[in-house]
Amino acid sequence: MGIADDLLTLAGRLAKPAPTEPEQASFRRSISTAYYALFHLLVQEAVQSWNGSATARFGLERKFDHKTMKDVSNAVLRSSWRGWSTPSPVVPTELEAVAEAFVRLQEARQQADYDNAKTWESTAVRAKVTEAQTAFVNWEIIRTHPAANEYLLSLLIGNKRE
Amino acid sequence: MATMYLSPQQLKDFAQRVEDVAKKFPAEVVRIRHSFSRDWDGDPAIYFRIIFTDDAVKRFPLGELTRKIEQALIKDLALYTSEYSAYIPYFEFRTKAEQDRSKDPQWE
Repeated sequence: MGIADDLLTLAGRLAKPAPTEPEQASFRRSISTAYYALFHLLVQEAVQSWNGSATARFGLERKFDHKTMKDVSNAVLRSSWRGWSTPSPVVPTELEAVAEAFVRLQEARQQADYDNAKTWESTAVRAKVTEAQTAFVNWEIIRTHPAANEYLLSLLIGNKRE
Repeated sequence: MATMYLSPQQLKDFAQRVEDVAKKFPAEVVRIRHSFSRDWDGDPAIYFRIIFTDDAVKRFPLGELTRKIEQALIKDLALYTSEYSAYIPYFEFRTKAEQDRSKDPQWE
């Protein structure tokens, strides 16, 4: 997971800026980078099973929409998400934790990138990076679970209609 | 997401239950503030602002600490299963020392 892992590492580094570095800018980039680390982890996992050309895979990656991914993740948390198989797969707690982290990191990223009136404290930033790191660990545990596979599909095409 | 109206009594009860959660962790939590609002996408949201004791962040791994308080709030307030499930919960943390320095009124 090259880029996702690299972004996660970078997020951790930016959360602890040197005294000579601009603190608020570093904090904001840390949070944004932590979100994109998780975003790219999930997107890359989703397109990995695509058998077409690399070019087509890049095109597929661009079809992932942040709001759709948030809505799907939110449905997982509220037990209203339905997988694509029948019966719908049981959602492991690790997948719930990944979905939870995705929703929260996305909101934090919006604030970090666009709300210039907000001041970030070190604890808040480190907590967000830790949340992303934990999501990576949880994903590794359940990435081959049927629910995880169907969650990835939902991230691309949205919640299943009843 | 649909928004639902919360009565003044519901809001009062909710605030009391938030305070009850804070009281469960006297060694870790100084106070918890919250507000109902809309998130960046316009979805209904509850923002929790949690202040840790300075000692707590030295004694416990940060991820363990945040998870413990988040889980208590989610469970005790039934955030995903009650009438409040229409609101997405968001959590932000800081230490007492950080708040003493910033004096952010939303966290007082």
